Amino acid sequence: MDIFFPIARMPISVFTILGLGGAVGLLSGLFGVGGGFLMTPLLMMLGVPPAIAVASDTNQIVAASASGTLAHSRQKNVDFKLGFIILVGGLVGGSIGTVLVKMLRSLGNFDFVLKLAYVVMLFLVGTFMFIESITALKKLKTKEAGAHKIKKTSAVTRFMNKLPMRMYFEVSGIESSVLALFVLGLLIGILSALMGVGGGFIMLPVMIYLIGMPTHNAVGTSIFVIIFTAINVTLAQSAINHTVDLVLAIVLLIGSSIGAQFGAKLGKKLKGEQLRVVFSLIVLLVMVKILVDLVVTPSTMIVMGGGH
Amino acid sequence: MKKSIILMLALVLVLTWISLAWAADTSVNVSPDRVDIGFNFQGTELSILGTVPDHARVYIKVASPNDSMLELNKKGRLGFFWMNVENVSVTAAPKLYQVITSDSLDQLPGELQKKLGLSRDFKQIYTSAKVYKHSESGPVELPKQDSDRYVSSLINIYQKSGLYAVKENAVQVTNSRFKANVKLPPNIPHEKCTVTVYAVKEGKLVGTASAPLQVNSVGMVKWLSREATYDGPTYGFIAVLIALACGIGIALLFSYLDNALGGGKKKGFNPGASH
Repeated sequence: MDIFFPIARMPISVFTILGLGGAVGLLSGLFGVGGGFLMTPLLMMLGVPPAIAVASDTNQIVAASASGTLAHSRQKNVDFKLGFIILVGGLVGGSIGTVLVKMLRSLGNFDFVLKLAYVVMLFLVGTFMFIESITALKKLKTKEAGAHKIKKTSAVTRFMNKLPMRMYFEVSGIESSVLALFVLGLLIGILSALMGVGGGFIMLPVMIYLIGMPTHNAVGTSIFVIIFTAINVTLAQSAINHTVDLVLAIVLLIGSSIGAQFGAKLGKKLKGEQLRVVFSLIVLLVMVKILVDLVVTPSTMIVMGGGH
Repeated sequence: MKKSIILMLALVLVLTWISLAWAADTSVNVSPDRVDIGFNFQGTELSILGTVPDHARVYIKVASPNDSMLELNKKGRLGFFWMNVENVSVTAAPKLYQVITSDSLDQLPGELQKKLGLSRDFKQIYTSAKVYKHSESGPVELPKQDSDRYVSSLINIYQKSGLYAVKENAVQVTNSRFKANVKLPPNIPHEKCTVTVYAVKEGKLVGTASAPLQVNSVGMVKWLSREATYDGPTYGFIAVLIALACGIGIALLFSYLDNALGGGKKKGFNPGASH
């Protein structure tokens, strides 16, 4: 059953789009990421113009993250208080990042430097998380995980503990400086504006390792913050580029909000350490994909514009 | 006096008849003469019928106005890496451009090919299209030698999606009647396109006829594309609201299903809280 999508201006099978949405929604519910890194290229493979793929995908993330947040909040994984502080920082950071992008663009070769920086960062974060979570899993097997882990993160948290305006977050069960959270939010906002990504990939590691949140709470809170980033970008894309295909987004989001539900359920069955192993593997996979795009000689030198 | 009036009338009649006969020599009829694009649109096929003077070759052009806009990125090598090194927009090219002929285009003199815009390698697109490079100080038009590469890529992209095509020997001519079918892909532009028929005899143009082809979106498709283009902020707002409603709706549905299927046993129990 094909539908003609009015902005993409092409007919695609509804079931293909539903399936695509479902798969990406599953990831989003599992890890608290938007999943744009996967959805956009897949849509482009179906022939959707890049600019429309990016914008419609963002609209879809609004639904998946709303659905995922509710699913996670039922399991008491969402720390709304903490998420809100990061969000405020993120919105300020996003505006700073946008200005920064403009300044850097005028220096030339901006995209090149950025992509390279992104690859390096994903590689570092992915490798670190992978090694850390594997060690944690091994320790868990020898039944003495808890004590060691607290010692390990304390090096970072010691600095965080010195910062003023401390507040206790009941849901995550941690105490943290409001100022530190705001600054981390700012950083996430700047980075996601620079990289043109939702920020889930940056947010999850920051929440786990720098703030010291339990993995499940980090996933739930990250997906809550992403709702607002996605709303912000959807509005901007509609107003400035007119590239959101609402019908495409609706079919995608029906799939993805169902997928997000299953993702949240599946996440419940996994231990925090297992979740981190899979997440780090996905981070590394994304890194490899970007790297391959950078290194492999393109089949055509001139392509349609508007993508990332 | 009476005689001269009759003579005049007769002359007028004869002249009208002659001009009618002349006009009737080349004619074209497109069916359907309008294309409506709704949710079930999958592309369509036009049937083009008409008449040309006896033994004339038939060249048909189906084209949209010269107003498409396409953004293109050029990739280039920087060290080990491939990056987008230039971003341009190509304008003043039609989005739909199909040529269907009764004979090989080689039979058409080069000068006429140029004049009528009928050529195998879309020469006229190179002439009309303008390529602007995006730069910090605004768009800059590229000189001819640089722009040709982009135009050729644009033609390639449009050819792949079926918007551009040249089909030789695809018009059937019997005596003075001709018949051709044209496939239009789903992504045809929503505007007034034109079907033009050129009758050529011994290297000379002996007749022209054209018919409009109105391509419109209808119903929801029309409303959505209009909103998206002309009222972006409202459209974005609606898009966000729908997304939120769907996300929340599906989450509530799932929690309802969970409760219905799982009975009352799951109160406050959270097996995932193992950190």
